[in-house]
Amino acid sequence: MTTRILLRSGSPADTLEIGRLLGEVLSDGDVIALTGDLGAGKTLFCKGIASGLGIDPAFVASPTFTIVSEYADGRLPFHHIDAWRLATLDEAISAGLEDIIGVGGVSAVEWPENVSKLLPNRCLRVTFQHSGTEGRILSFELPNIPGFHPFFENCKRYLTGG
Amino acid sequence: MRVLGIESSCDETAAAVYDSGGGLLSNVVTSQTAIHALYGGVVPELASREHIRTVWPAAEQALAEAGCDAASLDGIAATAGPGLIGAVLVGLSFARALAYALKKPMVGVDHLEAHIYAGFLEHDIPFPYISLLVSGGHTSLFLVSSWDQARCLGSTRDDAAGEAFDKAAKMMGLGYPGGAIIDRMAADGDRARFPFPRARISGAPLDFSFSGLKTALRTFLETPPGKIAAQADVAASFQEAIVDSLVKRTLAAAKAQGVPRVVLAGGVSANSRLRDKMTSEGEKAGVRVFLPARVFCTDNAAMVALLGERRLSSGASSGLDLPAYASSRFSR
Repeated sequence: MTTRILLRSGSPADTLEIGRLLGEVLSDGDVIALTGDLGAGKTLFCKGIASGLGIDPAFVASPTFTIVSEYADGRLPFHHIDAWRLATLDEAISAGLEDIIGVGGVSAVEWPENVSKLLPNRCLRVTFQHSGTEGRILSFELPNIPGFHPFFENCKRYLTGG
Repeated sequence: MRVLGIESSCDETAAAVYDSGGGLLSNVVTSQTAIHALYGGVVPELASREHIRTVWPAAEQALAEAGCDAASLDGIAATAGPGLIGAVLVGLSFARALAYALKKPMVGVDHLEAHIYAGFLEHDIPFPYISLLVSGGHTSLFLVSSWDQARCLGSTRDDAAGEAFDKAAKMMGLGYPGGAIIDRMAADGDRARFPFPRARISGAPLDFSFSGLKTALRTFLETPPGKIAAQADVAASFQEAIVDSLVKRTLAAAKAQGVPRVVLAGGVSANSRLRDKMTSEGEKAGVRVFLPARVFCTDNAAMVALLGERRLSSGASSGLDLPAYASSRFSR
């Protein structure tokens, strides 16, 4: 069972805040898959998640080059992963992703389509779509478990009209 | 003291010999850029496999070009991190094994520090100085006060400058490495044609941000003026936005610290517009700018051998169980 919700972010600040609200309810082992074009706000959203986990978002930078960035100083370990440069499952495994995603702490994966076989079934999916210059529509598919109920409540003001 | 340096933290396998008296005796770089061009980036598995294949030949060639054999070495230095962990391990393990076999000391070197001190390969630079380290994975400013003291003054909050170049090239349908292609293309373009944004971080004047610039380019390319714009003008204008941010903050750091010396390092410091603008703006501000030769901008082992020689000469060395590490040890 999954729950689908559509949220509207009107600005980078909104994207950051929605990420933070999600970060606040995440628990050990959660995996978030973030899909969207270059510049859609995936890394910004990850800064928000970090903030919700109690990590200083200022130091959360893009992991495109290093593939994985790890942050240990929040309430849970946070693995920020970017699979943009990984072409095959073999490459993802030898980059060590199998031992990281979903194994401990929270993992956020940008460009998950490149490593889809390594993602657990019980995965939170967020898709980013441009809506004007600054605006984004964030489409969430969340496992229907009580832990996420506060997130739905706190995000009400971002719900799209439909 | 004669030191063999090994570098394998990303997409180059490199080996070099540095001598306290004779300076740099050899500098060998085996680039994997051609392989990675197929994928539009660095692929870790390919990187590790290629490093294993090339590390020993690279070391042998470095020794041959230096005109010495392994027995005449006084020590070995290798990059211990940060980088792609599998790739770092190849060079580091090779260095550990060689040091063990030769019964010579080995020292692990930080990749970022190696870049920060690489200017000494070509210049006699008085401490202190401001180092701008700008590459595919890093964009940071350091105050370098001695061989043991470097403090980070500012960093990127999102994308590195080299990454911004690579992603822009991808969006524009150009190849890899994006930085070099945009640099070439921009030479024929009008850099004032399109005003791309220069982001500022409030309260952190020495931090960088290039993510908004990437998004602005994307939006621009999708709208009518962007669709029909000459690629050379887009490349030149985009490049100018990055170069402008780098130059302004670097000179602001020099002014704030009262240090009239700037040393460029990292792959993006090969960018011709960055070199020109940093030099001319530096002159106006009374700041001397030290530029590395292109071969020392990108990843190389000469800088590893040099820093290794300094560390070993001062009595430092690492155990043979020295681990590789993935994340930067610099914090603010």
